[in-house]
Amino acid sequence: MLREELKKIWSPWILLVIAALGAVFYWMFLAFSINYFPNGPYMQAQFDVAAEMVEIYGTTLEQDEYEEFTASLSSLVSEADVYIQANSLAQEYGITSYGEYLQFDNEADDISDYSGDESDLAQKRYADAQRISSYLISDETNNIDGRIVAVELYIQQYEVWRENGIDILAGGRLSYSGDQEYANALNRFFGEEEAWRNILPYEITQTTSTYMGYLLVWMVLSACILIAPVLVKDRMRNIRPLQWSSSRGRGVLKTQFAAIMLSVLLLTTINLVIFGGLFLTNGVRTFFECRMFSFMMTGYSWVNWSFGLWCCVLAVICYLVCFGVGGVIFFLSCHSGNYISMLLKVIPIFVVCALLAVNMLTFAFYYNNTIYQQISIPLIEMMAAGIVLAIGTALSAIAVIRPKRKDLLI
Amino acid sequence: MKGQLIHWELKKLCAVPMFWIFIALSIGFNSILILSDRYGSDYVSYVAQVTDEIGGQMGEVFDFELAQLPDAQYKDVLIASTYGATDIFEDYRTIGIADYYRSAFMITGNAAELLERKFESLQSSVDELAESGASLSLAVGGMTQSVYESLFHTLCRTILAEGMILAVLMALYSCGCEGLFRTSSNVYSSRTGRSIQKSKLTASAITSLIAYAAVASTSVGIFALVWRLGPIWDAGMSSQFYTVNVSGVSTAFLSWTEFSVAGYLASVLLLGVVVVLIFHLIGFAAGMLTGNMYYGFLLFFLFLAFEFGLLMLFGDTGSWLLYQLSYWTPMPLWMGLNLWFTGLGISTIVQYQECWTALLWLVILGLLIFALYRRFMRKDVTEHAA
Repeated sequence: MLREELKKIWSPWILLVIAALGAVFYWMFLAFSINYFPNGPYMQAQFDVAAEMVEIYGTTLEQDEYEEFTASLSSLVSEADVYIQANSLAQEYGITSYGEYLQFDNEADDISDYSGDESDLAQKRYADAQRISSYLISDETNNIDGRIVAVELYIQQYEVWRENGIDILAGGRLSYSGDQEYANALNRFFGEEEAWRNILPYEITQTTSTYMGYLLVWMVLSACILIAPVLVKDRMRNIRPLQWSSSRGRGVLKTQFAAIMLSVLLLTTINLVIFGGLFLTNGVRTFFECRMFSFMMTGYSWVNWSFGLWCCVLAVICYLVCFGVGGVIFFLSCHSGNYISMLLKVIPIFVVCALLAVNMLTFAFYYNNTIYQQISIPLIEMMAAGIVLAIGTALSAIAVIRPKRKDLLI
Repeated sequence: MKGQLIHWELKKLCAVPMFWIFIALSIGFNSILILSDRYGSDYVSYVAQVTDEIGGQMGEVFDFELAQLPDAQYKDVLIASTYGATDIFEDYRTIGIADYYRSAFMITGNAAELLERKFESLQSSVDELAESGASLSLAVGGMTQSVYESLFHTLCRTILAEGMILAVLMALYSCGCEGLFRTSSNVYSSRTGRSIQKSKLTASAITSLIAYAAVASTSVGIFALVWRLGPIWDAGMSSQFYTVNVSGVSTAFLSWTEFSVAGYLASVLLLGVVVVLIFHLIGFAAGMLTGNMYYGFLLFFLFLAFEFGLLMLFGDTGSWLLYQLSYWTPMPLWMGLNLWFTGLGISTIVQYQECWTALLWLVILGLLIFALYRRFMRKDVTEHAA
């Protein structure tokens, strides 16, 4: 019976529609996080430098490693000097070192507006400074400017944390919010382990969580398209009386529920494998061992899991939400007399889930998660997923149990 | 008899409780949107009061009269944002926007020419706006951006989306309900026969428009009650306090003709009626083509996805002429709602393009429905739940 129900659900036409819509959805909402990640030469450099740090020093940057890392700045500057000396435009202005270039760039930047009129000396200097800047962040120079800026940024951030430690929270960013609860929670792992020494760039958590948020929207949408029409079709074609009066009786609803949940599991897994796999091609795997709380201003997390574990938890949330939505759709399909009634119920559910998904997963388990900002309950993301699952389970139970007491009406 | 048939078809549609529930949910959702964003309502009330007392046209007289008004909480803030305001349209050159787009997006050839021609013709509208001092309209002062955006970008777009969804679903239901109730053999073999589809089309169009009108009037009514704009409804849309960001260019609201807030809202909602009708026709065509409500909906959904796909493809590959052409389709009509009746952006190339697009699609879909109707008249009747 389960096989028959699964055959009804996995209709080739519906699968084709899902595949076509999935391709467009990927293009519209997901591809950006892969094609433009890291976004721009400077973010690329931050990513590359952080990845190099993980390769050389491991997942944390201890004090002695930090000294070594700081020393690498001078060799980068020497490398930049060589590139500057090889540049004809820099030679034209008599620039022989990276330091001189920075000074030139700073002075050239001092124009109110760029008009493009290069007969004006200031305008020409500005344009040439931009050209040298483009040269220094190009592949030709191995993005030397980007790498120097990234190293300087990380040194600056590390220094801030080294000097202030946990006090950065008391006297700094959290003081305006008055959120003592977070500072207390943070004390639990921060005070003991000096967790700020972890290496994890900000853009990684931001991009990953946003991507997962949109992926969850797609998972919910594809699940709705796949499972919503099945029970409605049974009812419209008067198959329900046949099913209920068979030897299996109304227990068929349990089989149908199992088939729907199995389909949700399969479809969510397929989506996760395909779109998750595509996302992993952007190189974030290097940071799987790194922890979520980092001196790289990753944000204030409620937990200090590894990035890999965090990704797994996000995936679990996706499964929970999809199962919950599957249960809700099962209930709604059971109570819809035709496709239009079903769609009129499913569309609002999808809109709510889509709004919830993006807000729930973007910066999940971080202080700046939107839902946390509204409700101020730590770990609300997991609770919200649990609530969706509970609603789905309760409604499914009602949909399975209630018909047992119901008269069979054709 | 035809009127009677339409009446019965209307009754069939009204008998679906979920349509009523969906309308109620839409109004509820819109109310949440309005009520969740009431920041600055005190300031808006003050601006409305000032407009009532000394008028809403900034300038030296306004500055003087505002200074004479009794002290109030927001008086200094308002003075700071309005004092010495000048007409930003006086020396405004729209061709500069076209130049920026051409260089920033590397638009060449016919696409660039069309764009240039549009911005050249927009110049005369901007000159008229300058003559009437449209940019000196006080509107909602410092809250103009926020209030206009919540009314047009968020609320009107949501209302229209809800109207479109309802129109498609009502059309699909009306088209397929004989199959659903297994009455198609009886109905199609009656004296009226298959021409009942005409009554179905009319009835579902009427209910779609009623549903849209109900959602729009209630939601806008709630907005008006919450914000109490009063004389601000007569303020100009092209006030210097309101800017729109289109493809990386932040400009004032350069409309083809001068609009007041109330006038613009009415125009948007009226054009929305045509957009709802277009989506109703798409839904009806999908229903007639597939003979199945769900497959009809999926076909409609695929059509939308295909339109989005085309826009993305042409935009990403820099095929700007094709990109501009792909904007002559129904979905971008809804997407570009906040720019209706303006000459902004790289996607539109003629004056009032949204109106022409709507008209074009009414004709195209009318012909398509006619062709599908003729096909339906020759088709065998199959008895299954659709």
